[in-house]
Amino acid sequence: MDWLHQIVSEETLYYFETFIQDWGMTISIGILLLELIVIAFKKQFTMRLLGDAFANFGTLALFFAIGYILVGAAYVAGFYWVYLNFSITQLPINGWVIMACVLLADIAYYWEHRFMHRCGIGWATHTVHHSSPYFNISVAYRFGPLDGIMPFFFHLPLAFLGFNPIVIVFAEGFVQLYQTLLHTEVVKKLPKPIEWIFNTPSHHRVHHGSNPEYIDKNYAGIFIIWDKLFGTFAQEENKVIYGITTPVNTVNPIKVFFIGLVRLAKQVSKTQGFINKVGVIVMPPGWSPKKAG
Amino acid sequence: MARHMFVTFLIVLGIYVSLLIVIDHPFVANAMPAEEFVSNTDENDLASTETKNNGVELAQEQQNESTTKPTNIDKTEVKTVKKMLFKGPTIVGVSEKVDLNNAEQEVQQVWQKLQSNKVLQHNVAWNKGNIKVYAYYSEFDENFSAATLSIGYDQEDLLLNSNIDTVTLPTGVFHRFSVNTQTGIPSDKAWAQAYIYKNLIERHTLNRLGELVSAEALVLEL
Repeated sequence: MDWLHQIVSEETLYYFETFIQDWGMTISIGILLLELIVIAFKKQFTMRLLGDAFANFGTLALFFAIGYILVGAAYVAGFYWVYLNFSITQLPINGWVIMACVLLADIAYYWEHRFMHRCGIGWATHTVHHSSPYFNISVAYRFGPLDGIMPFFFHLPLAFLGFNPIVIVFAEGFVQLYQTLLHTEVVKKLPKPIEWIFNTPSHHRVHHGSNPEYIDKNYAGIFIIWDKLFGTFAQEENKVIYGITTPVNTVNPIKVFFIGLVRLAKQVSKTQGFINKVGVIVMPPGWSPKKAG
Repeated sequence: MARHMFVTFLIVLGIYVSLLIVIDHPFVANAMPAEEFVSNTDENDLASTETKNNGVELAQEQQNESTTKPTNIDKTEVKTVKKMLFKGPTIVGVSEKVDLNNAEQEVQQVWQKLQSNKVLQHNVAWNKGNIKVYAYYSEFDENFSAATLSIGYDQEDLLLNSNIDTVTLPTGVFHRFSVNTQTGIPSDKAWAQAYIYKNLIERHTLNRLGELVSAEALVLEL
């Protein structure tokens, strides 16, 4: 196990981070093509499905535009600011530290994901990802406008704990890549020990279901054990109906991209009273002053 | 929800403490920034104590065995890992001509000179962390038997504008190589490239406690 103690340079890790992101995209496109072939063989291919896939990548382009121009630099700079000024220690970069950071980033991902579903503003942006009525690898790239900002707040504590920002970004990227590869119907169920410990395509199909028994379940990134521990786990049993309870009915990427924020803005606008307006933004989706009593 | 958050806190704490134990990292409560440590230390004890806490010792241990001349240099075996631009910082420390045939001893002496410079050591901004220490080999002679070795802290990591020896490292596209932190020796490929381009830069990053965070060897295309 000596190799896990070997010090790694920041630049090497940064190189691997960009490497997995680049290859993640390449592999994803390959899997998408494979999925489309399988779908075509099953005679389930429609132009609507293809349009939806293009819309997914369209939201990705808009996501990148916002992510890189507005928040990209500030995101990493924020980690560095905390790491250099407020961290309780500064950990070396080696195999053990990277593994621990991935594990902690996975817990952070769970809570971030749960927040995105259970908070008005979070759901307003994350609803974009869930609004596709299909489930294939392109859906993984269907992002909302604020999807790149929310993770910052949940991963910041890692910088405070002394993890080098490059390690954090790598760990985030690793969890994200793992998550991306779960968006497929081609893989059915994996062996039971894997299904018990890890998040799998089956578990993630449940997460994307709009069936009442599947709503707000399976938030996990890599390890499904967090859902089991925190009571948000559901097994895939009934056929999954993908999408959201109020469908978007469009493949226009711009409309898709902003649909959640527009819906939230309309809801805020028609709600009376400042406190209630704030409530709509911060409380779980569907909250209203009447329901709250 | 509150119970779930508390359980999360316990899990995170467990993972974090386990990590600190496995990597033998000092626990937070016992950690003291080197700068504070030095200011709290009796002047007479300084020479013996600061070396244990300022990280130079660690970097030096690595450096002791780091200068090995390549025996079989085959340019075809030299591969570029990744090319990027290295913007040479100004370092503050010591510069000496070293005999590479007697590298182990001579390189160690240069590190000791840096270490014994109390003014410099007192003025490293340890609290800020991410301290960079560079060892820059340049001006190799034709036989690759002697070179100028400059070892120092990045000027931006110091609390004063020093009038001690400063050297500005060159800027250029670099080839990056690993440093074996068990032995402190840059890879053979690094030395083979150094033979071609007549320069080698070791970059050590130290944390607030003076512990090594990362290390690498760079050779610039000059």
